Amino acid sequence: MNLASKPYVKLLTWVWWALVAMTLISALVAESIDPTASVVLAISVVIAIKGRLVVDWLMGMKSAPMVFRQLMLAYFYVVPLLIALALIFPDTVQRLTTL
Amino acid sequence: MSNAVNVDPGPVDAAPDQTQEAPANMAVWVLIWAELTEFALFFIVFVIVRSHEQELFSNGPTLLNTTAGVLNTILLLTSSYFVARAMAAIRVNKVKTSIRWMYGTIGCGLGYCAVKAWEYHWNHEQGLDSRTDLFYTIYYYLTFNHLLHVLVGMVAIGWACLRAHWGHFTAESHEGYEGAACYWHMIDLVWIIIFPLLYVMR
Repeated sequence: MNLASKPYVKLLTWVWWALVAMTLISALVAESIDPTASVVLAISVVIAIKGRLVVDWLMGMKSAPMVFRQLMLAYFYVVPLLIALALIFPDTVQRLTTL
Repeated sequence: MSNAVNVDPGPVDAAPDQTQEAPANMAVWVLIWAELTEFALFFIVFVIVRSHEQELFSNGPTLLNTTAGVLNTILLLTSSYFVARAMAAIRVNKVKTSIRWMYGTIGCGLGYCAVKAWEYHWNHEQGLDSRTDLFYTIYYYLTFNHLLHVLVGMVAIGWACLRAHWGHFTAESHEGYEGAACYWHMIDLVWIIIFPLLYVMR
């Protein structure tokens, strides 16, 4: 997509709305639901989606060379997944990190 | 005499469809990856300490000001949107429009600092500080470190605006402008992880 065209600018606005909506839903979850494993996983998926939206569209990496884009996206797939696993299995992390 | 008509295709059509180049230059990307690695190490420390102090880290976020966290998330997402609009404008040589969008980014950055100051003051009034317990030590370390990055980002965006004002950037040449923009997006990306980690996942 042309990174200066009107459709691109319109898409940016939609991406911004989506990011704000996901933030507000996450906050609502924080205030109202007890953190079960599925909630933690769902929040991690939201982090990955938000990261991808920012990298691909706001940062304009959708058409960048694959290695740059994939490295950025990998960060937002791997880090939230590791955080989620560590929060769901804290005893395992504790055992692995006890000297 | 030639019949050819010199038609200006318009700024929008003049922009490349596919960049096939990473925004900014390699030095900026090395810096961005170094910063992301630094924050990833903080996140690892957070989850390891959390596994050893589960009750502390479960209760800690309940005392935090979630409203401040949400406000700062929205401010940073909005600032990233403004940066994206500024980049779209510079690509069609609308330099003044682009600078105005960047001013919006700096405004959001100032808003972020104000909300963070309010949040720290609110914590202080609740009797919470960096020595309260391990959760708050890491919370202050992470958020203050991020705040410093926001300040550096604002200086970078301000300097990019000055250079744009002096005519250093055009639709064809704006690598330095793009570098500041990418750095700012990195700051937003890190907060996208910090916000749920500290305020949401209990």
